[in-house]
Amino acid sequence: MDDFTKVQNMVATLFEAPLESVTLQSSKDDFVLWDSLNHLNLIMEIESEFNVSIGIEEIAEIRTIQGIMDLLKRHRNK
Amino acid sequence: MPDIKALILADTIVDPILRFLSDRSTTPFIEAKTGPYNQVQQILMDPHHSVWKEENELLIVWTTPERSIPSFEKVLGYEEFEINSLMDEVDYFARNIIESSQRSKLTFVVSWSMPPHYREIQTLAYKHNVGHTNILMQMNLRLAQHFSNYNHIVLLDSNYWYISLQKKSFDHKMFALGKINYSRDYFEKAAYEMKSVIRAFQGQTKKVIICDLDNTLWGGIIGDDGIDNINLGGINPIGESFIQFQKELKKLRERGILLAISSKNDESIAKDMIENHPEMILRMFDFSSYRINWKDKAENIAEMVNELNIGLQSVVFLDDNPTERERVKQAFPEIYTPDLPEDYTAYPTFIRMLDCFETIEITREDRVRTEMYQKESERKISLSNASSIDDWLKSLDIIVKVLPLEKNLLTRAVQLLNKTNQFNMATNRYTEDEYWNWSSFDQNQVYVFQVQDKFGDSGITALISFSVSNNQAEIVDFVMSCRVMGKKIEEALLFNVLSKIKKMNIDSVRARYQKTDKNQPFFDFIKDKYTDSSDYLLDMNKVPSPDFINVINEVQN
Repeated sequence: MDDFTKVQNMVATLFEAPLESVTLQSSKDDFVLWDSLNHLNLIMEIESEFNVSIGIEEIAEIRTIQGIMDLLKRHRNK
Repeated sequence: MPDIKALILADTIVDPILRFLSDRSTTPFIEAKTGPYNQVQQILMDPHHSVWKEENELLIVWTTPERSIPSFEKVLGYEEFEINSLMDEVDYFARNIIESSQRSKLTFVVSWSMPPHYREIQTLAYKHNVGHTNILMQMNLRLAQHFSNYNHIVLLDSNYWYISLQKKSFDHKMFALGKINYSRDYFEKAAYEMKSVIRAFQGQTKKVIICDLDNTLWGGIIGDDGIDNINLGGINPIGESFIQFQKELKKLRERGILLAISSKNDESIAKDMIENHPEMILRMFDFSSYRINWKDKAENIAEMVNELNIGLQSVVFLDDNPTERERVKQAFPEIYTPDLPEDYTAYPTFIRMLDCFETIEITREDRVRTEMYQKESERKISLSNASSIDDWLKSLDIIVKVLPLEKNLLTRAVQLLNKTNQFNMATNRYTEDEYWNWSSFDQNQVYVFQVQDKFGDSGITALISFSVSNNQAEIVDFVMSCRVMGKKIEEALLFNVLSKIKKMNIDSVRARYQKTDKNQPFFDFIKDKYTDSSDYLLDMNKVPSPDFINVINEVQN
């Protein structure tokens, strides 16, 4: 499974949204369940799945799926 | 199983556990809500609080000691405190829980603990009425004492969660951002443990273990290796692991879990091993039922399940062989068939960590037994309900590669000839030189077979050799490792060799079975393939070619 598919599955499960509704362009406003607690759940899932540690400033900046993909890329290249 | 509704009262943010509780990959599915944050005592004391309006089957009280017991906050701050008033506070808390527990069928109280990221002054930890560990332990024991008369209140051991997690249990970022005291993995662990306790209350725990013998209860293959060469006990690390594994099974038996055997073996040889090997922990009387034969395991298991009169969902099947596990999983998905570790030294830990034998209380063995026989449904399980063995065999994607004997295969070929006892026509033994010489004669031909299926490659596991003279062929050796028996591979091998012989315009083939103590399985295979007039002549029409086995002739001479 590639990174995007993993993220797509994660977001769909967490926010109880159809898989196909999760695209690179999707953002926080597209999901009713993307609230502050689920935001933290999402961060915990990303850290667990990809074995990365996301900085405290970065956490607040994540607003889109593209943002997650960029962040993963940055962490992978470290 | 309907979803379980639960209310969680906590003094920290525990909401991340909700999605693990409602996760549908493990039963039961718990649909939980959290009550207002950090008002545990108030809510417990107020019978008219809005959280009680909805009925919940499960109440979870998850608190931290420093927040629910004010005196313990002083303990942590090294302030002066009174041990008696601290205990009074614990009593008060416990009584409130008991009162509120009447509102649901089951109440979980998470025991108090200090997280591992909190370092205690080691010299003081256990000092009586001073150390945090000491006081915390007294507090938990006091709770346990209060709850001891209430079977519907379970004090869950959060210390065990910390210890067994073996991953970080605290996430400083999540604490900083959301006042979340625990890590994702800790929540997952807690949900998992809570679910297994509920399964026990629902009577969903397992009651029978059906286990294989070779490489499951002992190391090696009894039919081939013999009782003197089986790896069990001794001073061998693997042998010791099998002893520990058997001891764990014995403990489960003491707790009332029935044991049974499903093994592809010669019954008398296997029984002799179980009864007479000096280091066996389990003996025949420990097993409530057994089927030791060469039949399909699913068929044998169906028979035993009927005999013991238990439901399929109470059965655990343990077998080192992934192919057999797949067969049972496919025939009876209700049976719990976990994957055994490939490393035998991991067997004892594997069985100690299984969470499917949770019980509400340890009952006397006889009581459990009678109850079990009475309570379980009477429905008979038959293989006709389950998917057929042919479907299973087809699903295995068996590939047999046929290779003429060459020098690089010689060692393995001779090893196979000398080590195989059960599926062995003539039980001839050779040295490598002898065999190489014999095979180099023009009239003699040797084929070895490499067997693989979707679970992996079993390597060279069979050999057939024959000799041609005067327009007649004589099969000299036919051996196959019992690892691959029971899948009609032997039919495919014989068919393949007979086809080769036919191409040489030979129509008379002899396969002389030479009886030994151990090679009954070979006779069972060959007996109906002889012509009526016999003298060990094969009737070529009686050797079918199983269409689900893909036979590949690697190199043609």
